Amino acid sequence: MKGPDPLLLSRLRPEWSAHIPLTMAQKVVGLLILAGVITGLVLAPLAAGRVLVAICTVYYVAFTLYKFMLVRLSVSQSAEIRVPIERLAELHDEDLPRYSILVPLYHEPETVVRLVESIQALDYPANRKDVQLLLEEDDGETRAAVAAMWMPPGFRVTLIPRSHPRTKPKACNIGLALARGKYLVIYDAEDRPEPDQLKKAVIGFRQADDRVICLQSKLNYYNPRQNLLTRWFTAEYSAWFDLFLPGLAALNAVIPLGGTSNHFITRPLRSLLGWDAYNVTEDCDLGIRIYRAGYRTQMLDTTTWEEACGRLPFWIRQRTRWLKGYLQTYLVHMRQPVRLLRELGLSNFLHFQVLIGGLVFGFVINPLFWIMTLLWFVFRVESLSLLFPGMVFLMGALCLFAGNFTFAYIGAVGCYRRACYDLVKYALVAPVYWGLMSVSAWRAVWQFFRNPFLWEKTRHGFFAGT
Amino acid sequence: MDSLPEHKRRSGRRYGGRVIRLMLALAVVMGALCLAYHHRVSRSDEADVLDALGRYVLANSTEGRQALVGSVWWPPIPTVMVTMAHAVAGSAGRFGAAVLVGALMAGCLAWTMNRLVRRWVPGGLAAWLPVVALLVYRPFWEAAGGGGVATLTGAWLSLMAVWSAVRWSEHQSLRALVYLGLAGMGLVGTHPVLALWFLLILLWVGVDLRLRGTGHDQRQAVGLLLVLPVVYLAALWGLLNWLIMGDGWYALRAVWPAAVAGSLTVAGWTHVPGLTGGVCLGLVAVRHRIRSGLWLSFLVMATLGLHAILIARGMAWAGQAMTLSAAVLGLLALAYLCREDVGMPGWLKVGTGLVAVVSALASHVGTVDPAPSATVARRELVEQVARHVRGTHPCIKVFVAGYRGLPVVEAGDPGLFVPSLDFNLRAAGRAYPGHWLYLLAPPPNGRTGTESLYWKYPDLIRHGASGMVFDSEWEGWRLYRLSAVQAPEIMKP
Repeated sequence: MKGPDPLLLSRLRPEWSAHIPLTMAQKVVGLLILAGVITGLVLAPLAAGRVLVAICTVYYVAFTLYKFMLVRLSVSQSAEIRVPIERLAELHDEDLPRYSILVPLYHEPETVVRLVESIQALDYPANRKDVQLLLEEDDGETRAAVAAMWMPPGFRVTLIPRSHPRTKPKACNIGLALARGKYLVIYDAEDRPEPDQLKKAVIGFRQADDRVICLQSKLNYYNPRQNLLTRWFTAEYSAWFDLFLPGLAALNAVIPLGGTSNHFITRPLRSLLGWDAYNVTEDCDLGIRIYRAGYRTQMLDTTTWEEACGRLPFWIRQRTRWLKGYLQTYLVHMRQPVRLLRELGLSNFLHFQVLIGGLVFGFVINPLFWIMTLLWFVFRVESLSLLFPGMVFLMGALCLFAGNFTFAYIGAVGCYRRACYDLVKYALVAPVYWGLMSVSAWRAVWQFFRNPFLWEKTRHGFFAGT
Repeated sequence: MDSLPEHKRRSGRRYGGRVIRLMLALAVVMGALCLAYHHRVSRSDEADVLDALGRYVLANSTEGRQALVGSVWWPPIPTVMVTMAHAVAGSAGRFGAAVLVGALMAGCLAWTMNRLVRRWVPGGLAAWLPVVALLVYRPFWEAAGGGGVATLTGAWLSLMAVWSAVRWSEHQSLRALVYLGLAGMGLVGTHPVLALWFLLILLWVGVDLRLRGTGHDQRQAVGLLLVLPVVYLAALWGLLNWLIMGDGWYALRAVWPAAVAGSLTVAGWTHVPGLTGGVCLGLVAVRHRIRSGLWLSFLVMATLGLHAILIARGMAWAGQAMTLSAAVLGLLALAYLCREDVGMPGWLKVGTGLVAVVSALASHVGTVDPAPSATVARRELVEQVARHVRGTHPCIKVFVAGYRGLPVVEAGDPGLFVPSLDFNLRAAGRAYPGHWLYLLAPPPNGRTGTESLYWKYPDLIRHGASGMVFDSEWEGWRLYRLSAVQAPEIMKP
C-alpha cells in the first residue's frame, strides 16, 4: 500500500521548498554582485573597500539596535501566553481534545526509555495522547530498543521508508499525515517537557485569537553546568527564548520556530503542507510560512528541557546545520522578494532580513572585522583606518565597543531571567563562543554549496546526570 | 493574540499617544523659543569646543581621537552624541548639533519625569506640568548654548538610575536592574563625579539584597549586571587611553586639578528646596518604615553633599551637572512624598507641589563655567598671533594646546596653526625639523586647568618651562617660543 507523501510541499509548491537551493535568477544576481565586488576591488580597491565596510557597519549598527530593542520590549512587557495554575485546575479530562505527539528518532537507542518516561509524565489523559515514534526503516538499533520495551497505551511506531532526503522534516510529514489529534506537537528524543505543557497549550490555543495556529514553548537545557560549552549554550538559549522571541511576540512579528516543542493546530498545519523535507531548519521555514499564509505564532510560557550538546565537534555540526538552514530559508523566501514584502508587510519583511539573513551574514563577516581590529590594535596597521572614513569610523567604533558589550550583556540578562544566576559570569565571556559560531557559519556556507540537504545529526546522551 | 488585556493595551496606546503629543508640543515650543530668542542665547565656549571636537572626530584625525578619550573632564559620551548629531545635522545654522542633542536630552528628561510623576503623584502630569517645564527650561537653554549637553544627559541618567533603584527596591524587576546598570554606564561616560555617586546606589542595592536574604548566586548575578557596564566602560576608556595616548591612566592624571574659585554663594541656596524634600522624605520614610524612601532621601542628600565637596575643592565648573541632578533628585523626593502609600494629607501634597515649583525655579540659578577669555573672537586672536610670528622665520608652526585650542586652530591658517592635545616638546621638534616653533597656551582657568599641558608642565604659566620661553600674551592666551628644539643642526635647510 502506498504511504503518505512526505515531499508534498516540494511537489505541490516547489517555490516554497529548498529542493532547489538557488534559482537561476538568484544565481545570476549572486554572480553579478560577486562580479561587481571583484571589479570594484580591482579597479578602485579603496573605494570598493570603503563601500563594503560601510555596508557591514550599517548592518552591525542596525542589528545591535534591533536586538537591543527586542530585549527592551521583552523586559518591559510580557507578550507571551501565560496560563495560571487555576486555569489548569479548571480543565476536565473530557474537555481535552486528542493531542498528537511526534517524536522523530534516528540512531538514538539510548534515549528511548527516558523519552517514553518523559512523555508518560505529561499531565494529559493517556487515552487522549496520540504518540508516534517516527523510526527510520534502516535504523535497526533504535527499532530494536523500541521493540524491546513495553509501549504504554497511546504510543505507536511509525516507520519512515528509506528515501532521499534523510531529514527530520520528512519523518515529521509522515507523522503529520497519520496524526489523529486536533493539536500536534514535536518533541526530540532527549526532550523533557514540563508536565503541564500540553494542557497549557490547549488553554493557550483557546484564549488566543483565531489566526494563531502555533505556540512555541521555551527551550532550555537540563545540563547547563556540564562544561563551558553547555554554559554558553544555555546562556544563548536563555537570551533567545526568554528575551528575543518574547520581544518578537510583543511586536506581533514573524517568529522563527525553535526545533522542538512547537504546538500546532493540526488542520491548518496540513493546509500548509507540513514541513519542507529539504530544509534543514524546517522549523524556522515553517515559522515564516505560517506568517505568510496569514496565520500567527505566539510564545507559550512553558519550558521544554533538552540536552545541550557538550562536545565541540558535535556542537559545530549542529550549529552548521542550523545556520545552513537559515541560509536555505532566507533564499527560499527571497525568491520573490516583492511578494514576500507584500505578504509580510514592511516591518516583518525587515524583521525577516535582520533575523534570518542578517544572522548568517553577521557570523560570516565577524571574523573579517576581528582580524582587522586585531591588526589595528596589535600591529597598528594605520592604512586600515582609510577604510573607515568619518561617520563610518564612528559607527564602527560604536559597534566595536558598545555592540559587542550589548550582545554579551544580553546573554547575561537572559541567564538572569532564566534564574541561572551562576551562569551570568559565563555569558560575559561569550565572545569566544561567537568565534565558534563564525566557524560554523563559514562551514554552513561551504556546505550549502557542496551538500545542501545533508542533515548532520546531533549526538545526545553524553550527559549522565538527571 | 496579544496576551495583554485589551483595556491595558488601549490604555497603553492612549498613554503612548499622550507622551508623543507632549514630546511634539515640547519640540514645537522649544523650536519657537529658539527662533524667537536666538539672539539672546550666546554660544558657550564648551559648545564651540564640542563642535570643533566633533569635526576632528569625523575627520578621523589623531587629535579627534585623543580629544575623545584624553580627559575625564571632557567625557566621551557628550562628545560622541554631539559628533553624531553633527554628522546628521551638520554645522549649518547657529545652533546645529548642540540644539539637536539638547532637545533630545530635554525630551528624555521631560518624558521620564512625566512617567514618574504620573505614577507617583495623584493628578499626574497636569498637577506637575509647571514643574517639569521649569525643570527642562534652563538646561535646554544651556544646551542651546552648547554647555548643557553633559548637564542634561547627566541629570537624565541620574534620574533614571535613582528611579530604577527605587523600582528595584520595590519589585526586584529585571528591567529595573538592567536600566540601573546602563544608567551607571552612561554616568561614567558623562560625568565622572556622578559616577562616584553611582557607587552609593550600588551600596543601596547590595544592602537591600542582604536584608532580603537573597542567595549568593543571585547576589553575584545582580552585582555583575550592575557593575559590569560601569567597569566595562571604565576599562574601555583606560584601554583607549593606553592605545591612543600611550598611558592607560592618562585621562585620570588631572582628577584633582588646581582649584579655581567660583562665585557659588547663590548656587548653594538653590539646593535648599531639594534639601527640604530630602530631609522630609527621610523623616517620613523612617516613620512609615519605607525602605526605598529612606534610600532616596539618603541619595538626595548625598548628591548635595557631593556638590558641596566640589564647591569646597574649588571645582565649581565640575559641579554644573550636579546642580541640575540635585534639583531633579530633590523633585523626585518631593514627588515620592505625594505617593499614596506615604499617606500625606491633601493640603500637604499641595504644599509639596508648591515646594517642587520653587525647587524647579531655583534650579535655574546654576553655576556657570567660569569660561575664560577664550570666548573672545578667535579670528582676532589668530590674526594677531599670525602677524606676530610671521616674518621671524620662513618656516613657522604654532601649536595650539588643549581642548579650547581646537576651535582656535579652525579659525586660523591651517598651514600655520597645529592642534595639540598631548603637547610634547621633543615630539614637536621631531615633527617639524627646520621650523621655528611656538606654543599658544590657553589660560588655565576652570576645566582648562586640568588639561595635560598643565600637569605635564605645571609651572608653564607662572615661570615658563624648560625649552619654552614666554613670548607674548593676548587675552590670557600666552605664546611661548620653543627654544630647546631649535638646535643648529636642525636649523640647517
